[in-house]
Amino acid sequence: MTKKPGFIERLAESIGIIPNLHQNRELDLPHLTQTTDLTSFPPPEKWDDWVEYEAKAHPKREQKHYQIIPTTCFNCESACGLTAFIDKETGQVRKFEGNPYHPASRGRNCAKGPATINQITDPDRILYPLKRKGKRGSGEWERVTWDQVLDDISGRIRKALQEGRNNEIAYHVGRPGHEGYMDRILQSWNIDGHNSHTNICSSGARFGYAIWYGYDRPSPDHAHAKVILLISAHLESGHYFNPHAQRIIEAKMKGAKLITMDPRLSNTASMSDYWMPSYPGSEAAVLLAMAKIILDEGLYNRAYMEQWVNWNEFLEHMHPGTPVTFENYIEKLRETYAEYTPEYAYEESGVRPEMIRETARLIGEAGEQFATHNWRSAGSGNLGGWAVARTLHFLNVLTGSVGTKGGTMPSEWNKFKPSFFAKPPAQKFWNELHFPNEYPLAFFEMSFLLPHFLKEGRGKMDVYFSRVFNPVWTYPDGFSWIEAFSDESKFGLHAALTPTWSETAFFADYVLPMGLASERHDINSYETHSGKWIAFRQPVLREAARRNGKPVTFTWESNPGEVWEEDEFWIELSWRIDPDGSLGIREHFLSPYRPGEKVNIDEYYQYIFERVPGLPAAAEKEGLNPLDYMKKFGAFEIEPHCYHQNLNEVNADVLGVQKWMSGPGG
Amino acid sequence: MVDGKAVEGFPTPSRKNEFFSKTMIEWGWPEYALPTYIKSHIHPETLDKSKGEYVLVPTFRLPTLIHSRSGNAKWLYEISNRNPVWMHPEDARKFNLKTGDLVKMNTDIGYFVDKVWVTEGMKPGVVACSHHLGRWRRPEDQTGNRWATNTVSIKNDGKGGWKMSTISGIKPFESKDKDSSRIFWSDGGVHQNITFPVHPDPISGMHCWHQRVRIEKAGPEDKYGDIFVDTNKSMEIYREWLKMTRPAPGPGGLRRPLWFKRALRPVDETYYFENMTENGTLKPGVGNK
Ligand code: SF4
Repeated sequence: MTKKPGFIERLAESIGIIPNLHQNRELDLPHLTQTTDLTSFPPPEKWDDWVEYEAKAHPKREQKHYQIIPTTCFNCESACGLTAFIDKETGQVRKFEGNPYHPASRGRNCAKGPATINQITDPDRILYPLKRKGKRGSGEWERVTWDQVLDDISGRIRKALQEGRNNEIAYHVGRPGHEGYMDRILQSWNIDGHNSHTNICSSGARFGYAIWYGYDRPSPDHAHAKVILLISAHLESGHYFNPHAQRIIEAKMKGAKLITMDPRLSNTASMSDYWMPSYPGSEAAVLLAMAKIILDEGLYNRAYMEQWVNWNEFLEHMHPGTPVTFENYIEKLRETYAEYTPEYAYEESGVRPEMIRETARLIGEAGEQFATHNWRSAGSGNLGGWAVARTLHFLNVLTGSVGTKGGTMPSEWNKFKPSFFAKPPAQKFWNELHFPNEYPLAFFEMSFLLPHFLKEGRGKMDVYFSRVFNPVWTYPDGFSWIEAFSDESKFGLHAALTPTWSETAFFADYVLPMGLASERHDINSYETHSGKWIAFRQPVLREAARRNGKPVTFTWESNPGEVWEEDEFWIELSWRIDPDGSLGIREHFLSPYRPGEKVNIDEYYQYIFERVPGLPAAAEKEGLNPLDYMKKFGAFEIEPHCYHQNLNEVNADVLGVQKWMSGPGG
Repeated sequence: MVDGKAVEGFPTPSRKNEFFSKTMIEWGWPEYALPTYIKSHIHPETLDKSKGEYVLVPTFRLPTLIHSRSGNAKWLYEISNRNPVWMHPEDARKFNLKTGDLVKMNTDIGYFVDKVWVTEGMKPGVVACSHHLGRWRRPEDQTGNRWATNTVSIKNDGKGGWKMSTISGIKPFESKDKDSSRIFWSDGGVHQNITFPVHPDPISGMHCWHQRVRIEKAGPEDKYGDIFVDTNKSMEIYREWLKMTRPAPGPGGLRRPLWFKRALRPVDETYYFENMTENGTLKPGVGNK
């Protein structure tokens, strides 16, 4: 509330001693909410014409009109909701705020969300496709047209496919940010050409989870937990940073205890009830010591373990002759872990035995409301780091907190899987540069060994796309990457798909500018909490153009310069690889709505959104179709909670023929 | 089956949580049939403290930056623009280092020279350095990410030796954005990852990031941001770690357990070596339903 100016104040203003802070009083804009509220969001019915005072005009009260269009952040993986405020005068995005309709971020963002505006206005950004002149890495570039780019690359791919060199084509991705889009593209080309950054990031944790229960990611239900155990700094920089952080704090406000293992006094550690500055790599020893206490003190969840652990197989294989009873299992378990005393764990980790005992008891008491998280850090730092996730999940199994309210779910229960039109079949190739024989259990591609494999002569990359991916800088041993990139017999053609220059783009043949968060399409769905949701990352200026009656065909037309987006790039490229349809690629890019025509990007998403459970009905209530609903609100909640999916009933007949059950070892 | 009803369970061979993993046994790792503790490659037993060997935790993230993708965000670099080595006062005393002093961090393939931040917020005996910082461009490169990049020179001796040195830090520049002339920070940090060898875990395939480093006070010839790497040593260490693997085939001539997830999963027939041709596809007649 502004209070009325006093006499002295008015006098000072009128003679210019202080700036006039009270002009245009009659134009006062109404408060959005009760003045006691800390947050405020413009209501969606006003999103097409939202009025705010111009901050830079202060103290003058200058009204600004905005059109508000939602999209999602593309900085970390969380894909929090953003709302773009488009200045109606300039037609440009002025700022980004949160999207209150986004089920994971709920209107909030971290610093990197609003900083999206810096990224789109960065004076150094790349606006046109570039081709190298001179030697690779020499730093000389010339502008080319998108047509030249598409023709050159598609011709080269077509030739490789025709000659059966499918394994010489690869797409190497840093931040994916989409759901299933590239699988569809690569499989339509019949190539085993997916390479990712996962093995420098999270495959340690993934393996530890997968070996337990097939799913490779945890989804802690922080908000409802009584005890939260974090391996490393997930409160300030976790994989789902903002969505997780707000829920961890929510739980803490309700009295939950936070336990953090981290050798560094991170922000997370400083907010914790228990900080365990464990020696790096010793985490599993501490976790097993906790398990031992839970077992010795009878704090485990017998009902859950009896039903959901393969303890009978354990007894049969490792203790033949011992009667297969649950009691015997517990006894053997206690024997197995007898050496993991808190004192032993202390020697390994430096975490005091008393703290291990105290926290283990807290965990045992929390029972099903025990949320845990481990993603990179310990899992990705150490030889055998995958054992950290494995021993952490052991605690969830012991407490029966797998898939419970306040416990830890498998990520796939929270993740929406879109359905695609004209889905291509799985490829008939296996690329040993990605999944080599030495690493049969490797959870993802051995991506960081690519230069070493190429140096050993294991193969070559004829067409290599790096996409929002910077191995020269981010990966270990970047100079080996520079050496490999500099050698045209190893990388025939390297196209860098990136919004900005990067140390890797310096060593490309093409640098192809792709849109930032508010300049591209993606569908997002992540395991940020107990629910299941989707969000729509959309090019906001394209959507503004449509609403304002000037629709564009391609997203680049509404983006700055000639900045494309990947979705349309891949459709165009695939179309050109197979000009006559003889390679069987084109058929996967025909519109599901207009027979015989090339699909457009609206149709691609229309098809998906029409098949999201509950979305068509919700859209209808608003008088919209599902695509327009997503364009308007930017996100949709499919389920508020997804607990206990393992208890879903299935038809008993299908049990015997499950795909993953087939074959030896399965 | 639960209470007489068939339920989904979990996507594992037993449909349960596999405390006991037959898969690990079948694929040659019987010692890891059960959840266990595996000593890391940087376990204290592997470090010689008398030679100044420490473990470096190089992975921690800052909430304000995102890997190498935020160099185009001025607000974020205004907040975070350096990555000193965190060191406990006890350790700093051993090397006679105080905050701001230069330290040479010798990895197994080279070194980087960074500043030290002496802090009680670090566990004694462990040092850490944040990821994200130390972005660079060479004078010949197009200007990019100038809010975040140092200008460096890179020299290659043609025999695998690479030397990087900083020509200049971050500087204000003229552009359509007035803020670019107001840049007040000059330090863009130091690129550490490029001095790390590959450490592929023989099971998960994860790169094991923690580094054994030999810490020493920087000498008179060492400059802030100096980096050296010998890629011959990189190859050596790659081979050392490769030796730890226990390659396929697994049971039944498989290259990977069928029940494991796989990114971009190919048709099942490709999982069997006997079905494959030299160029990585199915032999004629296999899998053509
Ligand atoms: S948490 Fe991630 S997605 Fe959310 S605002 Fe921050 S950077 Fe963007």
